[in-house]
Amino acid sequence: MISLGPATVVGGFVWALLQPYRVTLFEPQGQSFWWLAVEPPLLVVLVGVVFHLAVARGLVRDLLEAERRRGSDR
Amino acid sequence: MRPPAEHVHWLFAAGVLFIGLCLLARAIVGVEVWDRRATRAYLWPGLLFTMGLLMWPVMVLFTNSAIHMLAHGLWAQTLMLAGAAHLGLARGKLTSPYWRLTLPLGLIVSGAAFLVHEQNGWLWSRSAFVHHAAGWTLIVGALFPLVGTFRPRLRTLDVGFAITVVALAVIVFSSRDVATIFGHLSSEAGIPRR
Repeated sequence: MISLGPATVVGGFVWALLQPYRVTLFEPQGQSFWWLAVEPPLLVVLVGVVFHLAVARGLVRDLLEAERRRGSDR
Repeated sequence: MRPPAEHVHWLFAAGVLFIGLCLLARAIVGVEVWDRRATRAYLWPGLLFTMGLLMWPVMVLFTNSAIHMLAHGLWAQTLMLAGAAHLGLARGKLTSPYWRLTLPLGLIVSGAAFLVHEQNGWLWSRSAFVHHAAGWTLIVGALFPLVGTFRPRLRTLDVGFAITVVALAVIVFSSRDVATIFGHLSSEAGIPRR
């Protein structure tokens, strides 16, 4: 479960490597605002990072705590 | 300053991907652990509701035909209904498990709307392909929450639904205004972009 976020980030980087023209930051000259603000591979990376920091880490803590509790109840 | 249509699709795809990851994590750890914190319990229904809300400006600003507008309006309504019902369930204000049926209802209506408002065949253009693929993914994917309403302990159904949502995000990320699909593009579609 903890690898979901990093795996998503890797997916975004692989996409950026396969289709570098989707990352307009590599060649920003002449690009309009939206082409610079919304770059799909970077969105995927961002989703992975936000999910990992905001959801996955806390969830792992709660999962370990639940397992510890279950172990002490036995 | 209005974003091009494909950028709006990508922003929604990012939201769908985030919801998919949340659902996948929820399916892996189980509902008991996931719901241990209120913020997490409200997270994915809240996002669903917000995406329904954001669909209204999309309907107003980006649709160019009556059927297109109706389809986006239906998505907005069914997404908000499913999000609100699941928020009510998470809060405990709604107790009947049948409120969960709002999710398959939303998926089936959204899938049908995708298919109905796409007038062209699968290989007409990338956009047409995306509409057909997303429509059928939603309709087939609706089976998971539909069966899950009556068999809530079957975790496989939760995993299947989460994977469906991630697949939908991938499909929407592949959306382009005018582009080829498997080397095909109708001459009437316009000048292709990468």
